[in-house]
Amino acid sequence: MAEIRVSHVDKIYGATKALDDVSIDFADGEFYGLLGPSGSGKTTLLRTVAGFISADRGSVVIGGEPMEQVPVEKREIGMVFQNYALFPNMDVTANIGFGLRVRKLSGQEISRRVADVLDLVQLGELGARRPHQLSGGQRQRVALARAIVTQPRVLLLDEPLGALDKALRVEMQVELKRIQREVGITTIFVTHDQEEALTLSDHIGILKDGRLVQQGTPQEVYHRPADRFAACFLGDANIFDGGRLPSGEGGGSVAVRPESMWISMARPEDAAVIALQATLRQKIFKGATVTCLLDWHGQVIKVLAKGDELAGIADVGEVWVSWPREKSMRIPADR
Amino acid sequence: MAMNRILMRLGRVYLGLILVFLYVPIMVMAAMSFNASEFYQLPIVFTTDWYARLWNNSAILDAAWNSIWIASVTTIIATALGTAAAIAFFRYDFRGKAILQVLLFPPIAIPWLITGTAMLIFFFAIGIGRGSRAVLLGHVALALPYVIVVVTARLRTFDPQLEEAARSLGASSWEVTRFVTLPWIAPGVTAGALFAFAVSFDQFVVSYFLSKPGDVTLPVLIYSAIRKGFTPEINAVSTIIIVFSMAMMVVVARYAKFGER
Ligand SMILES: Nc1ncnc2c1ncn2[C@@H]1O[C@H](COP(=O)(O)OP(=O)(O)O)[C@@H](O)[C@H]1O
Ligand SMILES: [Mg+2]
Repeated sequence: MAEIRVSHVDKIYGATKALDDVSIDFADGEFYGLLGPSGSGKTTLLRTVAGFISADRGSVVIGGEPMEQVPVEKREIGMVFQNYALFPNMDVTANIGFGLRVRKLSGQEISRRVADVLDLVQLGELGARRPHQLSGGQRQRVALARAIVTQPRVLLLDEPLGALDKALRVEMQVELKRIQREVGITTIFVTHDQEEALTLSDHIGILKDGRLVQQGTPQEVYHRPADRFAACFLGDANIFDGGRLPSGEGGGSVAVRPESMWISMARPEDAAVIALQATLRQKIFKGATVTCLLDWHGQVIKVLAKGDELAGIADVGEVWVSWPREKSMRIPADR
Repeated sequence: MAMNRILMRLGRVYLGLILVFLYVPIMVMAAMSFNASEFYQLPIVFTTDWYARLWNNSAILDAAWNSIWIASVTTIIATALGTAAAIAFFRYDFRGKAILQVLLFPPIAIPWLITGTAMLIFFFAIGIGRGSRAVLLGHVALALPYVIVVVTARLRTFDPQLEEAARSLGASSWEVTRFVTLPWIAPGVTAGALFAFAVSFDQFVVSYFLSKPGDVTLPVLIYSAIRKGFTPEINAVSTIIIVFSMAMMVVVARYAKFGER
C-alpha cells in the first residue's frame, strides 16, 4: 500500500497529446475515480502508472520511490483489464496463484492465500474451472482476485465493469467497493460512467483531451464544477452565459443542476431565490421523477421534479422556474 | 439437381484418381519390399530378407543415422530460433522489422537447386566447405522460415494483453514466455518442428550439393543407389521411411491437435 504521485506527465502520440501536463496525488488507500470521455487519456495515464508506457515528460512516484527505471514486473501493481485477460490455459486457482508462483512462494502458502482470496471474492467453489467456463461476473471476480492476491501497492482498474450488463454492474460496484475497503489498496479506477465514478470514489479527477480539468471529492466536483465541461460531464446542468441572468449575477457564467430547480405558477416571494419566467414545453415522466423542458428566451431549461411537486401545474404554459441563490454554480465564461 | 449430382460424381472420380496416383506407387513399392524376387516377378513370394539385409548394409545404416541426427539437430535449432524470432516479431517493434518479415518468404519460394548452389559457393568462400556441418547449416537455414511462418500464424490468435497481465503480476519476460505465451502457441511450435524435421529429412538437393562423397544422408544415398541399379533394399528402406513419417503425423495430429484452436 502506498501513495502515488504523478507529476507534470506528458505523453504525445504524433499529433495527439494523450496526456498534457497531468499532475495527480493519489492518497494511500483511497479509491480514485478517473473520469473522462473516450479518448481523453484515461487508459494512457493508467498504463503510465503501471509502467507499460513511459512518459515523455514528468514523473511517477509510488510510495516515495521514483518509477522511471522500474519495469512493470517490479512495480508491485495489480491490474484488472477491461476484457479480464485471464490465462486460458490455467484454471481459476492457477490464474489467481500466478503472481504468487512467480514470486517463488511455497505451494502451501500459495494454496492458502488463493483460498483466502477466493472467499473474499465469493468464488470458493470454482477453483477448478477454466476461464471459458465462467460467466462475465465470475471472470471479473477472478481478475480482481488475481490482481489483489499478491498484496500490491497499487490496484489499477481500466473500465473493469464496462463489459457487464447494468444489473451485474451495480452489483459488482458494491462488491468492488467492499473488497477495496477490506484490503485497503490505493486504487485507481478508470471509467467513462460518471455515476459509477461518483458512487465509488473518494476522489475523482476529470480528464479532457489529455488535461486534468478538475479533481476533488465527488461532492466538491459535482457542486462546484470548474468549468462548463465539468458541469455538463458530471450530470446535467443548465448553463446561463455571462450576464444573461437578472439580479446581479455578473462576471462569468452560471450553471444550475436540474434537480436544484423547481417550477411554480406564481413568482416565489423570496429574496434568496432566483426566479425566471419561462414557458413549459414538455413533461417527461420517468417514474420517481419528471423531467420538464422549458423555454426561456430561446434557451432550453431542464428541471428535474419529483412527481408530486407538479400538482396543479398544466402540461404546457407560462410558469416560474426558480432555485436558491446558493445553488448557482459559477463557472468561467467560455472563451 | 441432376447437374449437381453429375458434378458430385465427377468430383469423387477425381478424388479417386488422385488417391490412386498418390498411393498405388507407394503400395506397389511396399509390396515389392516383401517380394522375394529381385526382378519384381509375380506372384509375390513373401520374405523379410530385404529388411534383414538392411541391417548388414553399413552404407544405408550410416546414411540413415546421418539423416536422423541431422534432421533432429536441425529441428531443435530451427524450432528454438524460429520460435524466438516469431515471438520477437510479435512482441517488439523495431526498425527493419517489416523488411525482415518480407525476407522470410523468398527462401521458401527460391528453387532448392539455386539455394544449394549459392550455399555451396558461400560455404567454400568462407572455408566451411562440404560436409555434415555445411549440410546442417544449410538445413537450418531452409527450415527456419517454415517455423517462423507457422508459429507466427498461431501467434495471431494470441491476445497480447495476456502478456501484459502476466507482467503486471510480476513475471519476468522468460516467465511470461514460459507460462503464458508458449502454452498457447505450443501446437504451432509442434507443427513448426514437424515441418523443420520434414524439410531436413526429405531434403535431397541441398544435401546432395553440400555433403561429402561417402558421408551422405539417406535421400542422397537412395539417389546414388538408384543410378547404379535398383535393389529391393531401397524399397525396404523407403517403406520404413514412409511408415515412420505417417506414424509421426498421426501422433502429432493426435496430441498437438493443430487444426483446433
Ligand atoms: N499507441 C497509441 N498510438 C497512437 N495514439 C494513441 C495510442 N494510445 C492512445 N492514443 C491516443 O491518445 C488519446 C488518449 O487515448 P486513451 O488513453 O486510450 O483514451 P481513453 O482511455 O480515455 O479512452 C486518444 O486520442 C488515442 O487515440
Ligand atoms: Mg480507455
